[in-house]
Amino acid sequence: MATRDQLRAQTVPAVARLARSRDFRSTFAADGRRQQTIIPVLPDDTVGYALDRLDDAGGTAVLVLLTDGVLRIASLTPASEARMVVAAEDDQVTPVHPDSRVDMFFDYLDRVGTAVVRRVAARLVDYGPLPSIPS
Amino acid sequence: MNAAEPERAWAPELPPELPWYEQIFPISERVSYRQRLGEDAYGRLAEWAVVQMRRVEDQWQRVAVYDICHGKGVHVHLYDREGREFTETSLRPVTCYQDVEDGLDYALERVTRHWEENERRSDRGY
Repeated sequence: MATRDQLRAQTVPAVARLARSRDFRSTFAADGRRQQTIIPVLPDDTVGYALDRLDDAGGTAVLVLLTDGVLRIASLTPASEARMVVAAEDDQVTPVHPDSRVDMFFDYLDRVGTAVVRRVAARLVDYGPLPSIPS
Repeated sequence: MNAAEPERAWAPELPPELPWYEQIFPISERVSYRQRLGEDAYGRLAEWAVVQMRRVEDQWQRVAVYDICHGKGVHVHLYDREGREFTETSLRPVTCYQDVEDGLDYALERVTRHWEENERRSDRGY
């Protein structure tokens, strides 16, 4: 039986093909940097796992869930102080338990679009079938 | 081809521009892959590398590097736990730009299938 690491690894070729398209790179270009971290996750991975990988990446990454040919993509960036203040005033800081499933987190983002979790601004960017990438 | 004439390695018409574009794909707290893309002035993929990394005691180290540099086609370098390269293996030829793209897909499929075997070989050092 495949381990979780093996299952995540199996999604990487399709995600990497998508990620090298110009559209993807320009959508997620952070401050013109020529380096991106893309975190592939399984539906039942925990939000805590994703946030740990985000910490490893220095606070900015793209979260990608690929299941049955359907892609869900969210950008994760550090929430600014101003964003934190506004979210707190509007009671919009989302309490997400680190053990909650990442697919449920995507479901939530699908409803609200953008959320502040801890000190992270999460935004659903794309949701749909895995596009074919012209070679 | 004339038997006396040595086969010339394929090379891109233009070299990739610097710096290369790099994307990192962590699959656990201790394993990640890096996709490095070298594109020429026209945006064509001219060279690439796929690097398998592992974290040992908070340090990331190379396990395997798949690339097409030096006109050698797709090949893989394997590194031991001290970071020393101990073998290089040819995998498939590259003779055109389409082969460059297809070779990158091939390397990604291969590294994500063989990453544990690569780690075991890295531990053994042969």
